[in-house]
Amino acid sequence: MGVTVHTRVNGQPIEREIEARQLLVYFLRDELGLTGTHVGCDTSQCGACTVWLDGRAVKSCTVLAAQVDEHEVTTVEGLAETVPEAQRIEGLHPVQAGFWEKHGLQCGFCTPGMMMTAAELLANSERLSQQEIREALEGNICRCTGYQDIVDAVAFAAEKMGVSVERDVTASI
Amino acid sequence: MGTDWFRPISLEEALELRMTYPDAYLLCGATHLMTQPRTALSQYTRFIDLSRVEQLYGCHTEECVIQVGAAFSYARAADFLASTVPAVAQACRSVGTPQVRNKGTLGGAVALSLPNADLPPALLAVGAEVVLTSTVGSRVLPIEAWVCEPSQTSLQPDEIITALRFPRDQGPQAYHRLGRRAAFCFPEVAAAIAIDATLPSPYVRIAMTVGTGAFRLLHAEQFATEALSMMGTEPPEEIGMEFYGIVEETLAAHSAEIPEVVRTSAAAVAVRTLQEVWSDGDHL
Ligand SMILES: Cc1cc2nc3c(=O)[nH]c(=O)nc-3n(C[C@H](O)[C@H](O)[C@H](O)COP(=O)(O)OP(=O)(O)OC[C@H]3O[C@@H](n4cnc5c(N)ncnc54)[C@H](O)[C@@H]3O)c2cc1C
Ligand code: FES
Ligand code: FES
Repeated sequence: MGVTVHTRVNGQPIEREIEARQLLVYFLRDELGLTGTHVGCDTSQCGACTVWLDGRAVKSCTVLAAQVDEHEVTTVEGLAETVPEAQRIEGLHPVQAGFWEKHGLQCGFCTPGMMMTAAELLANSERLSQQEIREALEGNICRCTGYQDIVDAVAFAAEKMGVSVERDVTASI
Repeated sequence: MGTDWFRPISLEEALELRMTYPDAYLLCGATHLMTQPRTALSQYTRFIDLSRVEQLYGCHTEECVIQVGAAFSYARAADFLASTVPAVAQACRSVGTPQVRNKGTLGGAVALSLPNADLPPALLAVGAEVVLTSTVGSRVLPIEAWVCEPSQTSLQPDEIITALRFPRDQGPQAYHRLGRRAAFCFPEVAAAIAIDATLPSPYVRIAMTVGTGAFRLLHAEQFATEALSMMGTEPPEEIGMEFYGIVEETLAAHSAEIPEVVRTSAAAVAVRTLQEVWSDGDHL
């Protein structure tokens, strides 16, 4: 017997009959075609699969699709719509614009997860230090950038969103 | 094979399901289940998802006690308990990564009570209690009985952990852990210390884990309590040295299998934690 799931993904109502053991990440990618959410490790380590569940960052390889029934999921495809239009930069969420401006990616594999985690942090902060940005991203692994450009990208977005960032030149990941 | 997924919305419904299907896998945040080998998932054909049960999100504050529902995530508990039960809030903030803290629950952590988990030492140091409910009623267990004598007190097949209770505003508290890559590994060692300043003469409670399961260090507690009453708020250097020695000896006596390097690091973490609560105790 399948399980019926009623959910909203990026604001769109979705109803599907699924197998109870299906992981959210495969539901998003295979059933809904939202391939912006990546699968790196499938074991809750790398953070590439991070999405929002009711506005909080979670690793979608560690969530069963059945658990999102009557909850709201946001993926990188819907990230821009989570901020008011006036805050968007050429249609992008300030975090997406920050990754573009500050070269926060190389291969881009980790990027959707990084952005979803960073955007949650910014949505819930008024003031941040560079160290706090680094701590918030501790569950997301990047094998390319060395992280500094990612932190700069988040700091760029923070400024655009009215979140003040203390400079901390000694911070290291 | 077909699978049943139950989503009770009331505690009564959840307890009925638990009685009817004792073999069903009970889950709340599901973070633990999802980190088991994927083959573990296929062993179960019935799941009871507790995350909708409204009563498990309840919280209330009494004069001396604060109660939080078992479905509180670490992230929510860390915010909620930050000023009233700081050692538990700090332990919640130390777990895994933000994504795990958003999903993993206090009830799941207590049910598992993994030997090297962050929460158990903090719960022991502050003297938390576990509220267990079945169709016939509720019982409240001191965390000590839960963590230290699990064979006698473990969750019965018809029970659900519904809440945790904490003495509130007792005095200075701190929690520290040590381990490789904090975001991905459980702590190698962790120490929690709470001064109960509500007593006529303040008492220091100390709990640790060194991967062996959390336990209280009674000898170290007596030493720190006496030192606190004699020395006031300034922790002199010698107290730290003596305390270090007592913790190391206690760990050696606790298990001969704890390597020396772990014992010495654990003792250093305990000293650091004591110094923090002590210096925080100016008002005592
Ligand atoms: C990537 C990762 C990193 C982690 N790092 C740490 C760490 O650094 N430190 C640490 O301490 N822990 C760590 N954990 C473990 C985490 O703390 C636990 O997985 C979590 O607390 C379990 O909560 P849950 O709600 O997700 O439990 P679930 O996975 O839903 O359930 C776990 C167990 O608890 C039982 N259970 C759940 N709720 C109840 C209830 N209300 N009543 C009765 N039984 C119940 C379930 O039946 C099951 O047996 C980590 C986990 C992950 C995935
Ligand atoms: S794919 Fe989910 S954490 Fe790596
Ligand atoms: S940009 Fe390649 S993994 Fe981060």
